[in-house]
Amino acid sequence: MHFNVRIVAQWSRMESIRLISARSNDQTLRVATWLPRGWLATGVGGLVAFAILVIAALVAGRVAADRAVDGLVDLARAGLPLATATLAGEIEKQRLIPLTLARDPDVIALLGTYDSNAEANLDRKLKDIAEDAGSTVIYVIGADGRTLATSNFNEPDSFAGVKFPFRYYFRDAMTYGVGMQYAQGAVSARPGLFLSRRVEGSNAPLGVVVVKVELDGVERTWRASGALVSVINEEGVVIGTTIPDWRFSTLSALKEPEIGTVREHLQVVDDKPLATVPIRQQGELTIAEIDGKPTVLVGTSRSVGPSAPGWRLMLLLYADPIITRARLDGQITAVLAFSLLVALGRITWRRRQLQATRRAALTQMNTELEERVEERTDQLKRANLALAAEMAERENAETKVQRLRDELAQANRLSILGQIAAGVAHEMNQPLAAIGVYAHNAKCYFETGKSASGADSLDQIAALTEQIANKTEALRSFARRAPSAATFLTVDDAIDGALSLLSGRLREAGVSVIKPSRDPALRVMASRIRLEQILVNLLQNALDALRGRPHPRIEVQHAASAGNVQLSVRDNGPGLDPAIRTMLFMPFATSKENGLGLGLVISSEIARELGGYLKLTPSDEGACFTLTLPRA
Amino acid sequence: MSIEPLVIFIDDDDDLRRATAQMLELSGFRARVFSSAKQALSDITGSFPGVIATDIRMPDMNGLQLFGRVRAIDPELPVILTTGHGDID
Repeated sequence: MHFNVRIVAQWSRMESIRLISARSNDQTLRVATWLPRGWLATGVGGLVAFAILVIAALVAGRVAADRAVDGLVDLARAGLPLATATLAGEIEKQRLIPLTLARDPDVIALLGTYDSNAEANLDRKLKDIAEDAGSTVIYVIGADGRTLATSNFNEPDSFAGVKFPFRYYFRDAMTYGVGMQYAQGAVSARPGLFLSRRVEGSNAPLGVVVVKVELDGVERTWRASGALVSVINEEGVVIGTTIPDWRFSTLSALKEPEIGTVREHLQVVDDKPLATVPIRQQGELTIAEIDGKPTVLVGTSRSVGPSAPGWRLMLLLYADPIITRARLDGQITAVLAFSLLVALGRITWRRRQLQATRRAALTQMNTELEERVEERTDQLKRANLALAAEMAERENAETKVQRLRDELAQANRLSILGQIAAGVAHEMNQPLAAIGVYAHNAKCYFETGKSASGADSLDQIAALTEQIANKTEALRSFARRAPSAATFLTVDDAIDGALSLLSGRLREAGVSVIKPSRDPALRVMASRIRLEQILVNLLQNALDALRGRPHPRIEVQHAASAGNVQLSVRDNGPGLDPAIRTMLFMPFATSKENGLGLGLVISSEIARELGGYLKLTPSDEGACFTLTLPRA
Repeated sequence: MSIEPLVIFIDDDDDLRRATAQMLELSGFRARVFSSAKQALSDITGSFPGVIATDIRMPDMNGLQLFGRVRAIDPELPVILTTGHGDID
């Protein structure tokens, strides 16, 4: 449907304009500023849309109607030749009848002899022919105008004997050989087309053969096609028509002298005035009044052709229902198209809005995500810094603790030194006294010439001096703040060192010391001072416990297990009060009057630093502490 | 040749004991040295013809205890107490 496409194209253009205007957000905002908000906006928008729809429907209807009219004109043009052929065919067919009969011997014979038998025979012959050819009446008129034979001889309004000298078809045929006239029947008053032919005689015309055709068969055929067909003669009078009322009406109003001529030519019998066909042209449309109602028609006309010179055939099609339907179709199409476009527009608009919303949401989500990541990164950074600070602080604290521990160990060692100072003095005095004596002896030997003995005494002095030096060195290193690095250390050496430091006190207290048999294979990885410090502490505790006890004895033992070395210090003192046992390794817990309660704590700490531990071992008599260290 | 005077010397310190014994012999004494008071007591009788010199601080039996025992044997026996501790408690 071409016109629909055109409408759609039109509306697409309008819609695209609307869409273009809606595309820019600025424009939308601008529109929104002058459009009232809320329901009012919706109402105005609805009205505008409705107005557009109505206009669209009207235009579409109009265009569709125009197209329908064009289609009808084409249809009428196409139908015209057929309608014309129907008429022309009938005329040609009927025209052959008088042509043939004019040469018929019976007709000639009748006109020549006026035999009544011949007349009766001819009547019957004409009747047969008329029935075969569909003619209304066939009759033969003599030269005087009187009917001699007729096909309707036995009908009420028979032409037999009737005189037709006034008829144009008779006069024309007598004069020119042929005649053709559409006229009202003089006898039957029924209109018809009269076709006539002159019958030639040897000297003068004998008469005329006439056939009358009422054309109702043609009109029936036309009517069956559904079209309104009229045939108009050269004077503008409707002669054949599918609308009987229009017969003998003129297309245009005629003036008086013309009317007379027309009436004369038609030879109408009644005195009815010639009406005008109630028809007028309105553009391509023909408006006709049929049965008192104005009817819209579309049509065209053409000349009938040589078979009826001067006649025109007018073919009109009933346009009302088609135009109405086309208009309705157009309107519906427009409404549908508009609705579709509006829906499409809305969908597109909605989709665009949705996309915009989605995009905005996505952008917002992205932004939020980025912010969150940044925030989280910041938090992590802060947490890291805090952690680093905490670690530094802890490290610091650990360093402090280590330093404190070292200082405590140092204080412990100094305290030990203080306690053993008296013993040390005695230790020094003994070899010093010996040195003094040897020096005296050496002098005597040299005075008396016993140089060998003198030299021996000097050797003794040297040995004693070294002994003292060793002792002071041991003390000095014990007092040193920073302990020496860990080395492979024979356990026996550590025991000797510790006992040596305390030898003064031990001797003074008259304590018997039992040492284990030497085993150089028993070694640990430790700083000598550290290990000695533990042993000195244990020995001191034993010494303190043994004060005032009879037969005081300290037993140092060592033992080896798979990966460890055990060193134990046992005394035969009173043993430990059960109450104090649980608090042994707690700082400041002491059973001594002047004790600080740090000796065992510090010793235990050192043992742990060396990878071992210190604990009280159950014992039958006195107290026994065992130090366990990894064997090296 | 006159009989050399006899001195019993007791000290638990080996060096000092040997040096002192040497010195006593150089000075013209006969010296008998012991490392403990108990050993010395077995050698001391009532008719001991000499002097006893002993260190005070010693394990088991100290110089003062030895002094008591010696006086019990013979109160006339001369005993000399020596000590490395110069000050008197």
